[in-house]
Amino acid sequence: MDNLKLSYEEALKELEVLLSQMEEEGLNLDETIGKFKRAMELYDYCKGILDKAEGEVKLILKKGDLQEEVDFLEDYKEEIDEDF
Amino acid sequence: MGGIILRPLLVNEVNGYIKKLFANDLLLTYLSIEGEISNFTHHYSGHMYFSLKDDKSRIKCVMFKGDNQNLDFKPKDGNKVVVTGSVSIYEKDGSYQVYVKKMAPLGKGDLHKAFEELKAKLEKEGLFSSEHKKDLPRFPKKIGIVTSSTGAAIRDMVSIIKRRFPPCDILIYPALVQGDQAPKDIIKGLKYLESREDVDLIITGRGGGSFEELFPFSDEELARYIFSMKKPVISAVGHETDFSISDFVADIRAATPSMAAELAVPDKRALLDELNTLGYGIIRSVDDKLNSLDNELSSHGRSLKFLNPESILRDRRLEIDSILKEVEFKLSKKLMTMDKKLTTIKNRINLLNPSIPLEKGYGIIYDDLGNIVKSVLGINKDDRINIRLQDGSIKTLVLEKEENNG
Repeated sequence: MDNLKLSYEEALKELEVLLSQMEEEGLNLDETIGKFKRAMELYDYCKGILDKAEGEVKLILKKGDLQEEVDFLEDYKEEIDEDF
Repeated sequence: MGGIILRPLLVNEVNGYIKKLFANDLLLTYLSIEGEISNFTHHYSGHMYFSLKDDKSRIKCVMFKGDNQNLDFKPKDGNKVVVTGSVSIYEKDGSYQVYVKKMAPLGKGDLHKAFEELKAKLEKEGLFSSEHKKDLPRFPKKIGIVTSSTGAAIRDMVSIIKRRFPPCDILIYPALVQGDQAPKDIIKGLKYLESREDVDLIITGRGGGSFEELFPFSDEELARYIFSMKKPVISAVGHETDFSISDFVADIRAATPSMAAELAVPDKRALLDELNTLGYGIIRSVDDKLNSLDNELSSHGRSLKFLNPESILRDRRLEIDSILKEVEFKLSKKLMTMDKKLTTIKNRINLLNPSIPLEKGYGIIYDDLGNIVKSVLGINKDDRINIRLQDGSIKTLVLEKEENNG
Protein backbone atom coordinates (compact mmCIF):
# COMPACT_ATOMS: atom_id res chain seq x y z
CA MET A 1 0.00 0.00 0.00
CA ASP A 2 3.09 2.19 -0.01
CA ASN A 3 2.29 3.18 -3.56
CA LEU A 4 -0.23 5.67 -2.20
CA LYS A 5 1.65 8.87 -2.75
CA LEU A 6 0.28 10.44 0.36
CA SER A 7 1.57 11.68 3.65
CA TYR A 8 0.05 10.17 6.75
CA GLU A 9 -1.82 13.41 7.35
CA GLU A 10 -3.22 13.48 3.85
CA ALA A 11 -4.41 9.91 4.13
CA LEU A 12 -5.97 10.59 7.50
CA LYS A 13 -7.63 13.73 6.19
CA GLU A 14 -9.07 11.84 3.24
CA LEU A 15 -10.34 9.19 5.60
CA GLU A 16 -12.10 11.86 7.64
CA VAL A 17 -13.67 13.32 4.52
CA LEU A 18 -14.83 9.88 3.38
CA LEU A 19 -16.35 9.21 6.75
CA SER A 20 -18.36 12.41 6.78
CA GLN A 21 -19.53 11.71 3.21
CA MET A 22 -20.55 8.20 4.10
CA GLU A 23 -22.46 9.40 7.13
CA GLU A 24 -24.54 11.70 4.96
CA GLU A 25 -27.75 10.45 3.45
CA GLY A 26 -28.16 9.92 -0.23
CA LEU A 27 -25.24 7.74 -1.24
CA ASN A 28 -26.27 4.80 -3.32
CA LEU A 29 -24.85 1.36 -2.82
CA ASP A 30 -22.23 1.77 -5.54
CA GLU A 31 -20.94 4.97 -4.03
CA THR A 32 -20.92 3.50 -0.57
CA ILE A 33 -18.95 0.47 -1.72
CA GLY A 34 -16.50 2.66 -3.63
CA LYS A 35 -15.86 4.90 -0.67
CA PHE A 36 -15.65 1.93 1.64
CA LYS A 37 -12.98 0.33 -0.54
CA ARG A 38 -10.96 3.54 -0.61
CA ALA A 39 -11.37 4.05 3.11
CA MET A 40 -10.03 0.60 3.86
CA GLU A 41 -7.11 1.24 1.56
CA LEU A 42 -6.30 4.43 3.43
CA TYR A 43 -6.78 2.73 6.77
CA ASP A 44 -4.32 -0.01 5.82
CA TYR A 45 -1.88 2.58 4.55
CA CYS A 46 -1.92 4.55 7.80
CA LYS A 47 -1.79 1.42 9.89
CA GLY A 48 1.20 0.29 7.89
CA ILE A 49 3.08 3.47 8.74
CA LEU A 50 2.42 3.01 12.43
CA ASP A 51 3.10 -0.72 12.45
CA LYS A 52 6.52 -0.73 10.87
CA ALA A 53 9.00 -3.02 12.55
CA GLU A 54 10.93 -1.74 15.53
CA GLY A 55 13.92 0.39 14.60
CA GLU A 56 17.51 -0.05 15.74
CA VAL A 57 19.53 1.98 18.23
CA LYS A 58 23.19 2.39 17.27
CA LEU A 59 26.15 4.12 18.82
CA ILE A 60 28.99 5.49 16.75
CA LEU A 61 32.45 4.43 17.76
CA LYS A 62 35.15 6.79 16.58
CA LYS A 63 38.43 5.34 15.47
CA GLY A 64 40.46 8.28 14.33
CA ASP A 65 38.55 9.57 11.35
CA LEU A 66 36.62 6.36 10.89
CA GLN A 67 33.24 5.69 12.38
CA GLU A 68 31.85 2.33 13.25
CA GLU A 69 28.30 1.63 14.37
CA VAL A 70 27.68 -0.67 17.28
CA ASP A 71 24.53 -1.55 19.18
CA PHE A 72 23.72 0.89 21.93
CA LEU A 73 23.87 -1.31 24.96
CA GLU A 74 22.44 0.96 27.63
CA ASP A 75 19.48 -0.87 29.00
CA TYR A 76 16.89 1.71 28.15
CA LYS A 77 14.27 -0.98 27.65
CA GLU A 78 13.95 -1.57 31.35
CA GLU A 79 12.81 1.98 31.70
CA ILE A 80 10.23 1.50 29.02
CA ASP A 81 8.76 -1.35 31.00
CA GLU A 82 8.65 0.71 34.14
CA ASP A 83 6.63 3.30 32.34
CA PHE A 84 3.79 0.95 31.66
CA MET B 1 47.18 57.01 77.51
CA GLY B 2 49.01 57.01 74.21
CA GLY B 3 52.06 55.06 73.23
CA ILE B 4 55.61 56.18 73.40
CA ILE B 5 56.21 59.31 71.35
CA LEU B 6 59.81 59.99 70.67
CA ARG B 7 59.33 62.78 68.20
CA PRO B 8 56.89 63.74 65.49
CA LEU B 9 57.24 61.29 62.60
CA LEU B 10 57.55 62.21 59.00
CA VAL B 11 54.72 61.26 56.68
CA ASN B 12 56.86 58.86 54.70
CA GLU B 13 58.00 57.22 57.92
CA VAL B 14 54.41 56.49 58.84
CA ASN B 15 53.57 55.12 55.43
CA GLY B 16 56.75 53.09 55.43
CA TYR B 17 55.87 51.69 58.83
CA ILE B 18 52.40 50.73 57.74
CA LYS B 19 53.82 49.15 54.63
CA LYS B 20 56.04 46.96 56.78
CA LEU B 21 53.08 46.00 58.92
CA PHE B 22 51.16 44.95 55.77
CA ALA B 23 54.16 43.11 54.44
CA ASN B 24 54.44 41.09 57.62
CA ASP B 25 50.77 40.15 57.63
CA LEU B 26 50.21 36.61 56.43
CA LEU B 27 46.84 37.31 54.91
CA LEU B 28 47.64 40.53 53.11
CA THR B 29 50.70 39.16 51.37
CA TYR B 30 48.75 36.51 49.54
CA LEU B 31 45.02 36.58 49.10
CA SER B 32 42.21 36.29 46.58
CA ILE B 33 39.46 38.82 46.37
CA GLU B 34 36.20 38.54 44.54
CA GLY B 35 34.37 41.58 43.26
CA GLU B 36 33.11 43.59 40.38
CA ILE B 37 35.45 45.70 38.26
CA SER B 38 34.81 49.44 38.09
CA ASN B 39 36.76 52.47 36.84
CA PHE B 40 38.82 50.16 34.67
CA THR B 41 41.65 51.78 32.69
CA HIS B 42 44.23 50.03 30.64
CA HIS B 43 46.99 52.65 30.78
CA TYR B 44 49.20 53.19 27.74
CA SER B 45 52.07 52.01 29.90
CA GLY B 46 50.41 48.61 29.82
CA HIS B 47 49.38 48.60 33.46
CA MET B 48 45.78 48.14 34.42
CA TYR B 49 44.17 50.28 37.08
CA PHE B 50 40.74 49.60 38.44
CA SER B 51 38.66 49.15 41.57
CA LEU B 52 36.98 46.05 42.84
CA LYS B 53 33.70 46.59 44.55
CA ASP B 54 30.89 44.80 46.20
CA ASP B 55 27.68 46.29 47.46
CA LYS B 56 29.28 47.75 50.57
CA SER B 57 32.81 48.68 49.77
CA ARG B 58 35.55 49.12 47.20
CA ILE B 59 39.28 48.59 46.95
CA LYS B 60 41.83 49.95 44.49
CA CYS B 61 43.74 47.54 42.32
CA VAL B 62 46.67 47.64 39.98
CA MET B 63 47.83 44.91 37.64
CA PHE B 64 51.15 45.55 36.05
CA LYS B 65 51.91 44.98 32.41
CA GLY B 66 54.11 41.97 33.12
CA ASP B 67 51.27 40.32 34.98
CA ASN B 68 48.39 41.21 32.69
CA GLN B 69 49.98 40.21 29.37
CA ASN B 70 48.74 36.65 29.60
CA LEU B 71 45.18 37.36 30.61
CA ASP B 72 42.83 35.24 28.48
CA PHE B 73 40.01 37.76 28.60
CA LYS B 74 39.56 41.49 28.41
CA PRO B 75 38.48 42.88 31.74
CA LYS B 76 35.72 45.45 31.57
CA ASP B 77 33.71 47.48 34.03
CA GLY B 78 30.98 45.31 35.44
CA ASN B 79 32.92 42.03 35.07
CA LYS B 80 32.88 39.93 38.16
CA VAL B 81 36.34 38.59 38.78
CA VAL B 82 38.56 36.91 41.28
CA VAL B 83 41.96 38.56 41.69
CA THR B 84 44.91 37.06 43.48
CA GLY B 85 47.84 39.07 44.81
CA SER B 86 48.86 41.13 47.82
CA VAL B 87 47.58 44.24 49.51
CA SER B 88 50.19 46.89 50.04
CA ILE B 89 50.69 50.56 50.67
CA TYR B 90 51.47 53.00 47.93
CA GLU B 91 53.69 55.17 50.02
CA LYS B 92 53.58 58.15 47.73
CA ASP B 93 49.97 58.99 48.52
CA GLY B 94 49.33 56.88 51.55
CA SER B 95 46.78 54.65 49.96
CA TYR B 96 46.65 50.94 49.95
CA GLN B 97 45.82 48.84 46.98
CA VAL B 98 45.79 45.33 45.66
CA TYR B 99 48.76 44.34 43.57
CA VAL B 100 47.09 41.86 41.30
CA LYS B 101 49.15 38.97 40.00
CA LYS B 102 46.33 36.90 38.58
CA MET B 103 42.80 37.64 37.54
CA ALA B 104 40.04 35.29 36.37
CA PRO B 105 36.45 35.92 35.43
CA LEU B 106 34.19 34.84 38.19
CA GLY B 107 32.13 32.15 36.45
CA LYS B 108 28.73 33.66 36.18
CA GLY B 109 29.42 37.34 35.89
CA ASP B 110 31.57 36.92 32.87
CA LEU B 111 29.94 33.97 31.17
CA HIS B 112 26.53 35.53 31.55
CA LYS B 113 27.81 38.65 29.95
CA ALA B 114 29.45 36.71 27.14
CA PHE B 115 26.19 34.85 26.70
CA GLU B 116 24.13 38.02 26.54
CA GLU B 117 26.56 39.66 24.15
CA LEU B 118 26.63 36.70 21.78
CA LYS B 119 22.88 36.36 21.98
CA ALA B 120 22.38 40.01 21.09
CA LYS B 121 24.89 39.78 18.27
CA LEU B 122 23.43 36.67 16.63
CA GLU B 123 19.91 37.92 17.08
CA LYS B 124 20.85 41.11 15.29
CA GLU B 125 22.30 39.03 12.46
CA GLY B 126 18.95 37.27 12.16
CA LEU B 127 20.13 33.82 13.21
CA PHE B 128 17.18 33.37 15.52
CA SER B 129 14.44 34.53 13.20
CA SER B 130 11.53 32.20 12.69
CA GLU B 131 11.73 32.28 8.91
CA HIS B 132 14.87 30.14 9.14
CA LYS B 133 13.21 27.50 11.26
CA LYS B 134 12.73 24.19 9.50
CA ASP B 135 9.78 21.88 10.07
CA LEU B 136 10.45 18.60 11.78
CA PRO B 137 9.55 15.42 9.90
CA ARG B 138 6.29 13.99 11.21
CA PHE B 139 7.58 10.42 11.19
CA PRO B 140 11.36 10.52 11.42
CA LYS B 141 13.01 7.40 10.03
CA LYS B 142 16.34 7.89 11.76
CA ILE B 143 17.10 10.38 14.50
CA GLY B 144 20.73 11.35 15.07
CA ILE B 145 21.65 12.40 18.61
CA VAL B 146 24.82 14.24 19.60
CA THR B 147 25.34 14.03 23.33
CA SER B 148 27.23 12.17 26.00
CA SER B 149 26.77 8.44 25.55
CA THR B 150 26.53 7.98 29.30
CA GLY B 151 24.18 9.52 31.77
CA ALA B 152 20.47 10.02 32.09
CA ALA B 153 19.95 12.32 29.10
CA ILE B 154 20.65 9.77 26.39
CA ARG B 155 18.88 6.97 28.24
CA ASP B 156 15.78 9.10 28.66
CA MET B 157 15.75 10.19 25.03
CA VAL B 158 16.17 6.68 23.67
CA SER B 159 13.56 5.18 25.95
CA ILE B 160 10.99 7.88 25.23
CA ILE B 161 11.51 7.75 21.47
CA LYS B 162 11.23 3.98 21.48
CA ARG B 163 8.15 4.03 23.65
CA ARG B 164 6.36 6.65 21.60
CA PHE B 165 7.31 5.50 18.14
CA PRO B 166 9.12 2.14 18.01
CA PRO B 167 9.78 2.08 14.22
CA CYS B 168 12.22 5.00 14.49
CA ASP B 169 15.95 4.25 14.19
CA ILE B 170 18.36 6.10 16.48
CA LEU B 171 22.00 6.87 15.80
CA ILE B 172 24.01 8.25 18.70
CA TYR B 173 27.17 10.27 18.17
CA PRO B 174 28.89 10.43 21.55
CA ALA B 175 30.43 13.82 22.28
CA LEU B 176 31.92 15.77 25.13
CA VAL B 177 29.25 18.04 26.52
CA GLN B 178 31.26 20.14 28.93
CA GLY B 179 34.65 21.77 29.01
CA ASP B 180 36.65 23.67 26.42
CA GLN B 181 36.78 20.83 23.91
CA ALA B 182 33.04 20.25 23.95
CA PRO B 183 31.93 22.74 21.26
CA LYS B 184 34.34 21.33 18.67
CA ASP B 185 33.36 17.80 19.54
CA ILE B 186 29.67 18.59 19.24
CA ILE B 187 30.22 20.33 15.89
CA LYS B 188 32.08 17.26 14.66
CA GLY B 189 29.15 15.08 15.62
CA LEU B 190 26.63 17.40 13.99
CA LYS B 191 28.72 17.48 10.81
CA TYR B 192 28.84 13.73 10.71
CA LEU B 193 25.09 13.35 11.17
CA GLU B 194 24.41 16.13 8.67
CA SER B 195 26.43 14.13 6.14
CA ARG B 196 24.44 10.93 6.77
CA GLU B 197 21.71 10.62 4.19
CA ASP B 198 19.60 8.30 6.31
CA VAL B 199 19.35 10.72 9.25
CA ASP B 200 16.36 13.03 8.93
CA LEU B 201 16.28 14.72 12.33
CA ILE B 202 19.02 15.68 14.78
CA ILE B 203 18.91 16.29 18.50
CA THR B 204 21.79 17.78 20.43
CA GLY B 205 21.93 18.60 24.09
CA ARG B 206 22.75 17.36 27.53
CA GLY B 207 21.27 16.96 30.98
CA GLY B 208 21.26 19.58 33.67
CA GLY B 209 24.34 21.27 35.07
CA SER B 210 25.72 24.60 36.16
CA PHE B 211 25.74 27.55 33.80
CA GLU B 212 29.44 26.91 33.20
CA GLU B 213 28.82 23.26 32.42
CA LEU B 214 26.13 24.11 29.92
CA PHE B 215 28.20 26.86 28.38
CA PRO B 216 29.61 24.80 25.48
CA PHE B 217 26.12 24.99 23.96
CA SER B 218 26.47 28.75 23.90
CA ASP B 219 29.61 28.63 21.80
CA GLU B 220 29.53 30.96 18.80
CA GLU B 221 31.04 28.53 16.32
CA LEU B 222 28.58 25.85 17.36
CA ALA B 223 25.69 28.29 17.08
CA ARG B 224 26.72 29.29 13.57
CA TYR B 225 27.12 25.69 12.51
CA ILE B 226 23.70 24.69 13.79
CA PHE B 227 22.24 27.66 11.95
CA SER B 228 23.87 26.54 8.70
CA MET B 229 22.56 22.97 8.89
CA LYS B 230 20.16 21.64 6.27
CA LYS B 231 18.60 19.07 8.56
CA PRO B 232 16.21 20.06 11.31
CA VAL B 233 17.83 20.30 14.73
CA ILE B 234 16.30 20.16 18.19
CA SER B 235 18.35 21.73 20.95
CA ALA B 236 17.80 20.31 24.43
CA VAL B 237 20.18 21.67 27.02
CA GLY B 238 19.76 21.30 30.76
CA HIS B 239 16.49 21.98 32.48
CA GLU B 240 13.40 24.03 31.79
CA THR B 241 15.00 27.21 33.15
CA ASP B 242 18.30 26.87 31.28
CA PHE B 243 18.78 28.64 28.01
CA SER B 244 21.72 28.30 25.67
CA ILE B 245 22.53 29.95 22.37
CA SER B 246 22.03 26.64 20.57
CA ASP B 247 18.39 26.76 21.73
CA PHE B 248 17.89 29.97 19.78
CA VAL B 249 19.55 28.90 16.54
CA ALA B 250 18.08 25.39 16.49
CA ASP B 251 14.79 24.79 14.72
CA ILE B 252 13.14 23.93 18.01
CA ARG B 253 14.17 24.37 21.61
CA ALA B 254 13.18 21.55 23.91
CA ALA B 255 13.15 22.40 27.60
CA THR B 256 14.86 19.11 28.47
CA PRO B 257 16.27 16.08 26.62
CA SER B 258 13.10 14.16 27.48
CA MET B 259 11.02 16.90 25.94
CA ALA B 260 13.17 16.71 22.82
CA ALA B 261 12.29 13.04 22.50
CA GLU B 262 8.61 13.86 22.84
CA LEU B 263 8.83 16.54 20.19
CA ALA B 264 10.82 14.33 17.86
CA VAL B 265 8.33 11.53 17.33
CA PRO B 266 4.55 11.19 17.41
CA ASP B 267 2.86 9.00 19.97
CA LYS B 268 1.92 5.80 18.18
CA ARG B 269 -0.78 4.87 20.65
CA ALA B 270 -2.59 8.18 20.27
CA LEU B 271 -2.37 7.92 16.49
CA LEU B 272 -3.70 4.38 16.54
CA ASP B 273 -6.64 5.44 18.66
CA GLU B 274 -7.43 8.24 16.25
CA LEU B 275 -7.10 5.97 13.24
CA ASN B 276 -9.20 3.19 14.71
CA THR B 277 -11.93 5.62 15.64
CA LEU B 278 -12.11 6.66 12.00
CA GLY B 279 -12.01 3.04 10.82
CA TYR B 280 -14.79 2.16 13.17
CA GLY B 281 -16.83 5.10 11.94
CA ILE B 282 -16.43 3.91 8.35
CA ILE B 283 -17.56 0.41 9.23
CA ARG B 284 -20.52 1.77 11.14
CA SER B 285 -21.62 3.98 8.28
CA VAL B 286 -21.52 1.04 5.86
CA ASP B 287 -23.50 -0.93 8.36
CA ASP B 288 -26.08 1.84 8.59
CA LYS B 289 -26.27 2.04 4.84
CA LEU B 290 -26.91 -1.66 4.50
CA ASN B 291 -29.52 -1.52 7.22
CA SER B 292 -31.46 1.18 5.48
CA LEU B 293 -31.12 -0.67 2.19
CA ASP B 294 -32.52 -3.73 3.87
CA ASN B 295 -35.53 -1.77 5.07
CA GLU B 296 -36.02 -0.25 1.67
CA LEU B 297 -35.99 -3.64 0.02
CA SER B 298 -38.56 -5.13 2.29
CA SER B 299 -40.86 -2.16 2.02
CA HIS B 300 -40.54 -2.03 -1.76
CA GLY B 301 -40.74 -5.73 -2.32
CA ARG B 302 -43.52 -5.32 -4.78
CA SER B 303 -42.06 -2.86 -7.15
CA LEU B 304 -38.68 -4.48 -7.01
CA LYS B 305 -40.10 -7.72 -8.18
CA PHE B 306 -40.51 -6.39 -11.65
CA LEU B 307 -36.94 -5.34 -11.71
CA ASN B 308 -35.87 -8.79 -10.66
CA PRO B 309 -34.06 -7.75 -7.53
CA GLU B 310 -32.05 -10.88 -7.35
CA SER B 311 -30.24 -10.43 -10.57
CA ILE B 312 -29.75 -6.74 -10.00
CA LEU B 313 -28.33 -7.22 -6.61
CA ARG B 314 -26.48 -10.43 -7.04
CA ASP B 315 -23.48 -8.90 -8.69
CA ARG B 316 -23.37 -6.10 -6.15
CA ARG B 317 -23.61 -8.52 -3.32
CA LEU B 318 -20.93 -10.79 -4.59
CA GLU B 319 -18.75 -7.77 -4.81
CA ILE B 320 -19.62 -6.61 -1.33
CA ASP B 321 -19.05 -10.10 -0.04
CA SER B 322 -15.64 -10.39 -1.51
CA ILE B 323 -14.58 -6.95 -0.30
CA LEU B 324 -15.87 -7.62 3.11
CA LYS B 325 -14.26 -11.02 3.26
CA GLU B 326 -10.96 -9.48 2.36
CA VAL B 327 -11.34 -6.57 4.73
CA GLU B 328 -12.60 -8.79 7.45
CA PHE B 329 -9.58 -10.98 7.08
CA LYS B 330 -7.28 -8.02 7.37
CA LEU B 331 -9.04 -6.37 10.21
CA SER B 332 -9.80 -9.41 12.28
CA LYS B 333 -6.16 -9.59 13.12
CA LYS B 334 -6.03 -5.95 14.04
CA LEU B 335 -9.14 -4.99 15.84
CA MET B 336 -11.65 -7.17 17.55
CA THR B 337 -14.40 -4.59 17.73
CA MET B 338 -14.14 -3.71 14.08
CA ASP B 339 -13.97 -7.36 13.27
CA LYS B 340 -17.19 -8.06 15.09
CA LYS B 341 -18.87 -5.18 13.40
CA LEU B 342 -17.82 -6.52 10.04
CA THR B 343 -19.27 -9.90 10.80
CA THR B 344 -22.54 -8.23 11.59
CA ILE B 345 -22.42 -6.38 8.29
CA LYS B 346 -21.65 -9.53 6.43
CA ASN B 347 -24.57 -11.32 8.01
CA ARG B 348 -26.72 -8.38 7.12
CA ILE B 349 -25.65 -8.64 3.51
CA ASN B 350 -26.35 -12.36 3.48
CA LEU B 351 -29.82 -11.68 4.76
CA LEU B 352 -30.32 -9.33 1.85
CA ASN B 353 -29.26 -11.95 -0.61
CA PRO B 354 -32.18 -14.30 -1.33
CA SER B 355 -30.03 -16.90 -2.98
CA ILE B 356 -28.43 -17.86 0.30
CA PRO B 357 -31.65 -18.98 2.06
CA LEU B 358 -32.69 -20.77 -1.09
CA GLU B 359 -29.53 -22.80 -0.96
CA LYS B 360 -30.47 -23.88 2.49
CA GLY B 361 -33.80 -25.22 1.33
CA TYR B 362 -35.96 -22.16 1.88
CA GLY B 363 -38.36 -21.07 -0.80
CA ILE B 364 -39.90 -17.78 -1.82
CA ILE B 365 -43.57 -17.80 -2.45
CA TYR B 366 -45.10 -15.60 -5.14
CA ASP B 367 -48.78 -15.09 -5.82
CA ASP B 368 -50.39 -15.15 -9.26
CA LEU B 369 -49.32 -11.60 -9.89
CA GLY B 370 -45.74 -12.28 -8.93
CA ASN B 371 -45.85 -10.59 -5.55
CA ILE B 372 -43.90 -12.11 -2.73
CA VAL B 373 -46.24 -13.73 -0.25
CA LYS B 374 -45.37 -12.90 3.30
CA SER B 375 -48.61 -13.65 5.01
CA VAL B 376 -51.45 -16.14 4.76
CA LEU B 377 -53.94 -13.31 4.96
CA GLY B 378 -54.10 -12.65 1.21
CA ILE B 379 -54.21 -16.31 0.30
CA ASN B 380 -57.31 -18.41 -0.06
CA LYS B 381 -58.14 -21.98 -0.89
CA ASP B 382 -57.63 -22.79 -4.57
CA ASP B 383 -55.32 -19.83 -5.16
CA ARG B 384 -52.40 -20.58 -7.41
CA ILE B 385 -49.01 -19.73 -5.96
CA ASN B 386 -45.46 -20.25 -7.15
CA ILE B 387 -42.73 -21.51 -4.92
CA ARG B 388 -39.25 -20.49 -5.91
CA LEU B 389 -36.52 -22.87 -4.91
CA GLN B 390 -32.83 -22.51 -5.66
CA ASP B 391 -32.99 -24.39 -8.95
CA GLY B 392 -36.43 -23.58 -10.22
CA SER B 393 -40.02 -23.02 -9.24
CA ILE B 394 -43.11 -25.08 -8.54
CA LYS B 395 -46.63 -24.01 -9.43
CA THR B 396 -48.97 -25.07 -6.64
CA LEU B 397 -52.58 -24.98 -5.69
CA VAL B 398 -53.61 -23.99 -2.14
CA LEU B 399 -55.58 -26.78 -0.48
CA GLU B 400 -56.06 -25.30 2.90
CA LYS B 401 -54.87 -22.42 5.02
CA GLU B 402 -54.37 -22.06 8.72
CA GLU B 403 -53.61 -18.89 10.63
CA ASN B 404 -51.31 -18.80 13.63
CA ASN B 405 -53.11 -17.54 16.62
CA GLY B 406 -51.10 -14.98 18.57
